[in-house]
Amino acid sequence: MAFEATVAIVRDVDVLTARKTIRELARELGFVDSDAVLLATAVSEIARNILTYATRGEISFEVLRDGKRLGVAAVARDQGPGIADVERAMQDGYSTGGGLGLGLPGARRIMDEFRVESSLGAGTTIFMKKWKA
Amino acid sequence: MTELVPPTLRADEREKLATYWHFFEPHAEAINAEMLAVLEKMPNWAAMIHAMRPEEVAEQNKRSNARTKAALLEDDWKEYLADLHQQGMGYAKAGISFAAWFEIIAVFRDAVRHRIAEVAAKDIHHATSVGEGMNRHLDIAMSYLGEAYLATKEEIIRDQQEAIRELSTPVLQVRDRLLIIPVVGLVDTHRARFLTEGLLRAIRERRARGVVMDITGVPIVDSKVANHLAQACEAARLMGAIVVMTGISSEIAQTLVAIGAQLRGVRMVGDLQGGIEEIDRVLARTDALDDEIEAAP
Amino acid sequence: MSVPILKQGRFLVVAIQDELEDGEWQTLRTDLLARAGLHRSLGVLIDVSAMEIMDSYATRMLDGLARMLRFRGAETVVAGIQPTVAFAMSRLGLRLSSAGTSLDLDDGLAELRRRTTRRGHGV
Repeated sequence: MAFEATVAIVRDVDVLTARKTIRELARELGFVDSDAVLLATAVSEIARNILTYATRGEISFEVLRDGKRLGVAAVARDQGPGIADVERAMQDGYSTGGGLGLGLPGARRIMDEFRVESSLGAGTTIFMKKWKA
Repeated sequence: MTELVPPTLRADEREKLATYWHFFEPHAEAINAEMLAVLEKMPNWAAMIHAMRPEEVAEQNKRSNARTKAALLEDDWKEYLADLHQQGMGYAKAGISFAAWFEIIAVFRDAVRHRIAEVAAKDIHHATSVGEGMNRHLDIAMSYLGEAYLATKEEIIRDQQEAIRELSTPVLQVRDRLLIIPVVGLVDTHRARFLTEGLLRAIRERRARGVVMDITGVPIVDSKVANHLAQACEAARLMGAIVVMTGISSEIAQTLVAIGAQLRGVRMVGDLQGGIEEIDRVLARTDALDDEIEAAP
Repeated sequence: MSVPILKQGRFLVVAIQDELEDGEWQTLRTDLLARAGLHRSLGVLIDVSAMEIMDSYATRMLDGLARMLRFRGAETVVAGIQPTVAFAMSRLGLRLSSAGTSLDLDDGLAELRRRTTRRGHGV
């Protein structure tokens, strides 16, 4: 996979860098403003999670092309403690909607594709994709 | 236009395509004439054919054959595929049905089959190769043409849906700083988003302080729709607007409760008129309070 | 780099320019609480119209700040959340429960006045 950019997430200012990177990438690709904001917000949540739960990690961004369709993919990796129960973490009662826990449900709702690979002690990898409307 | 990927072909398939072409080429003119005669009589194609002069038709056939030859003999698919793509897009835009352009393929197939049958007795093996080559050729043609046709059709439908969405979710401004959104019809994810973004833009552009969202015309409100509506109200409130929702039937009220929709701060009123009056009351109260504050020593 | 805090009568007004680092949020919180205490401010107006992104962290910061200010006797209004931001926040279920919201600074000031006036006594 050829990544456009990889942002190391080690300090809080890196969350801002990750946001800026995806926002610029989204604008370059012609995503509408509201989608660019959605993407940046989702990335911000994921980056913040890395800082909070894994201390350090990285997020890589890639441009997706499928025929005429354009999109963007982000892969967030960390070597943190891992998520014991991914299903539970992804649970998103429409009713709760608070989502201030892990931010995963919120990010998942924003993305077109969203996959989490994680297990206790083995770190976490999150694969996300969003296509241009 | 992005590059079209040429078909993946085995060596034996390439051979058969070449065999077919060598068989077809001497018959090309005659077959084209036959096809013209048949298509002229078909309602879908007659007009198009009569619109062209004989020289134009001949020229077009010549170019088409050259392109096909390059593809089948020299493995140079670029021009051939590009042309198929153009045709597909053209038929879709011209509103020609799938069945109609399929007709052309069928007519062509018959024209070639007659001639294959004539030589079959002498050399069945050769005839079979030619037949298989033709089939492979037509499969390729149909798949590229078909894909372009479908993609264009989908784009047309998307554009139409966009236009319908615009027409069907108006944001009405009623007196100073009050917006009304009559939501009518089914609300899917796309529509909900369109509606919400339009509402939020309108709040900013028209400096709305109050919004009445009337959902009398929404037939089905399941938990998904309820969430969409709740999100729209929440977003409007984040922009400082007072939100009143009207036209909520008892079923919808139940759904909202069931999903625990946090519609805090959103007032519910029976009907649109009542909703407007409610906002007027609230705004009047705040205006009165503002006057009081101004007047205070 | 700290965010400038302006005094407007009994209110404090703050404009957050995009992208605050964690440290800057802490500084802002400390500064606002100190100033609100010092001036016995009745209200704080936070202009976020320049913020292009509001995630759960920023929302928590603002909401937490509003709660702390309330303990100090000051109401908070967040002004100028942009349409794209409001949309994203609603999609993620982010909420400001301890602060009022307004379209812009003007409306925000009016809202603060309304929230802090004591009827019959004036401000």
